[in-house]
Amino acid sequence: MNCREVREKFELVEMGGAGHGEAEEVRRHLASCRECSAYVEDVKRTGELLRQFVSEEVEKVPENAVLSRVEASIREEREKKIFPRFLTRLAPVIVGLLALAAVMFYSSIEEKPSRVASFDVTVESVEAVNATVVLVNKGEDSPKVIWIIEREET
Amino acid sequence: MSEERFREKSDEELVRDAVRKDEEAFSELVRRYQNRAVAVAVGIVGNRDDALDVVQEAFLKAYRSLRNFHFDSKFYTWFYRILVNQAIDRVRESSRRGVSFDETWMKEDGEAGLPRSDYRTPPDEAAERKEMSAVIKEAIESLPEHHRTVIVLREIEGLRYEEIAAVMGISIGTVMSRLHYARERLREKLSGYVRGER
Ligand SMILES: [Zn+2]
Repeated sequence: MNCREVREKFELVEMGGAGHGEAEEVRRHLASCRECSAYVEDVKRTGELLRQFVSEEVEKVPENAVLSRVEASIREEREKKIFPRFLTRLAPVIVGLLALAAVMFYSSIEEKPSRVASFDVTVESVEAVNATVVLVNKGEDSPKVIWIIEREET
Repeated sequence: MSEERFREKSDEELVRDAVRKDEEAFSELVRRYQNRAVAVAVGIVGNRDDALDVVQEAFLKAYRSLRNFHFDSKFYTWFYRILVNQAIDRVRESSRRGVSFDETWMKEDGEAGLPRSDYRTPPDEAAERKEMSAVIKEAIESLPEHHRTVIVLREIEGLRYEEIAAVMGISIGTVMSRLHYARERLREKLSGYVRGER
């Protein structure tokens, strides 16, 4: 086993995660290699420094600061959810009202008397004393016959 | 204070209760893990303000996706995965914005004066500690996010290799090589503070 392998595996050996033969090999190497045993010492000291640094930061966090923040954001999220749910429940009513409004709107249009802006008068046929006169409304999109006169006298 | 009715319950039982809309059960999970989560997040993002945001967001994500927890792993493995991903995202976001680990530290310290605990320590010792913290921060900052995460989960959280592998979705071999890389790098950066022979 070379130095790199020993440095990667020493901790696994300490945690009891390596096989017996491998563990023995690592121990033997560490006993005879000064660089690797210094490395192991340094790793432990580095770990202590990291833990010290982090625990100093964590100590400054007020107790249950996280809990209050998490509970507040869950509450906020729930309140936000209430509105759309309320809307979803009302959706059939809203659709119904809109449909009713549409029906009323269109029926009011149909009932409105159409105003004739201009019209054409054509004499369709003249037979003896009878004439057929047609009034065509030109104000609409498509011309519409609005009156047919069939009288002897006119 | 943790509620009496939860004391005997496992994390996984609490998850079941929380899924059944027992809000207090989720609060109990937060209570159990909040300090450890902050420690892990501080180790990865480097300051407690960002760490608090990261932890809050991680718990919220966990809460929203409790139904996706399939009970085939431990709750903390599942939660730590959410947490470290959130922390790594924060580190990347900060580096995109060009905020260094150290800038936030300096700013924070300049505004707040000496940290609370330092009032009780002699000035020399406090200054020394502050300098030390800055050096450690710089050393951690020099590590790529995934190496940072592995060393934090090992040294701060004390997870076993197989647990780190499960949290990060990597093999034990990768855990070992990342740890080795991170340790070599930190050892080099902190050479003035670690005892071993050079
Ligand atoms: Zn060696």
